[in-house]
Amino acid sequence: MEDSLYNLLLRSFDAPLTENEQRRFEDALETSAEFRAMREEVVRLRSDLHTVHGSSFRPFFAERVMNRLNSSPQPISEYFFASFRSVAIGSAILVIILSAYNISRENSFTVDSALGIHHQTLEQILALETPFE
Amino acid sequence: MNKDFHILPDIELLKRSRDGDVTAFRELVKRYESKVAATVIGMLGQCDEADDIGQETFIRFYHALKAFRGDSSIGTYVTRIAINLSLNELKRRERRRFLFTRIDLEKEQGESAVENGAVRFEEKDILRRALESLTPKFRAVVNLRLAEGYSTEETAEILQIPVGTVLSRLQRAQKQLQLILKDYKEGF
Repeated sequence: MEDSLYNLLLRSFDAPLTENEQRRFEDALETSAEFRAMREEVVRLRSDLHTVHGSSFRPFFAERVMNRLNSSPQPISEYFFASFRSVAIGSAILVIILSAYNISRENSFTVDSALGIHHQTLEQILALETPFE
Repeated sequence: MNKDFHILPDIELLKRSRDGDVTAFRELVKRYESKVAATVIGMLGQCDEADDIGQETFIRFYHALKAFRGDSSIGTYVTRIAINLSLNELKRRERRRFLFTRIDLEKEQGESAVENGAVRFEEKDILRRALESLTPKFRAVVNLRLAEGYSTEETAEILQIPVGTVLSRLQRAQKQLQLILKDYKEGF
């Protein structure tokens, strides 16, 4: 059966059809034996399905969900994010304290002083090497 | 305060749940429990696994609360989770089926023969068995569209397949059900 006609048949059980759809539906009912048979089949199947389907969980379902939720471990992604966040905040505070200490020692507000980098001249480096000669 | 939760709209419960209010989430569970039950029990039958899959559906929903943007309704969203989990469970069952089919068959035949002197099934059981013999993707469209009353478009959205595919699967499922039921009725 054509998809649109079949969908029309299914929709006729859900809600009222528009005037055009209703006309098309009635035409199909009158002229097509296949459509009539399909309609009967859908009616029967829907009613059978409703008798078969017992659709409720055991009592206290919501309580079981909440208990499981309270006892279930955090998803791994959330766990890593939460752990990393505390490590990241701690590290950031440590870096700020060290940078402030370095700047206060050097008395100059530069990136090098914040990082504690000392520029040495070639003479200073050579002077360091002399004891080994 | 908690007594008022049942009058709050979904959107408010969702907001509160996102902020960590477990009582609000509990209300959402109660509100959508029957919808999830219809889907899961329709797919798996009334069994312990169905209850577990139902619980798992809401736990997944809880963990996805922040990611849920509200593009679809909560009902459609939880049904989609429930269907996916049920389909996974059916795949697991399929893998186990080889081991247990023979044992179950012998047990059932034995019990029925003792009770009635012949193998006899009720109409309800016949239909349940016929549904169970459908492939999971056919069973999903039959349950969602014919039993649970989702529209064709909603069924397509839940299963994330085109509307045309829903309709063709449904027609084929219906034909298969007719054949299976005919065989059952003639056989027993």
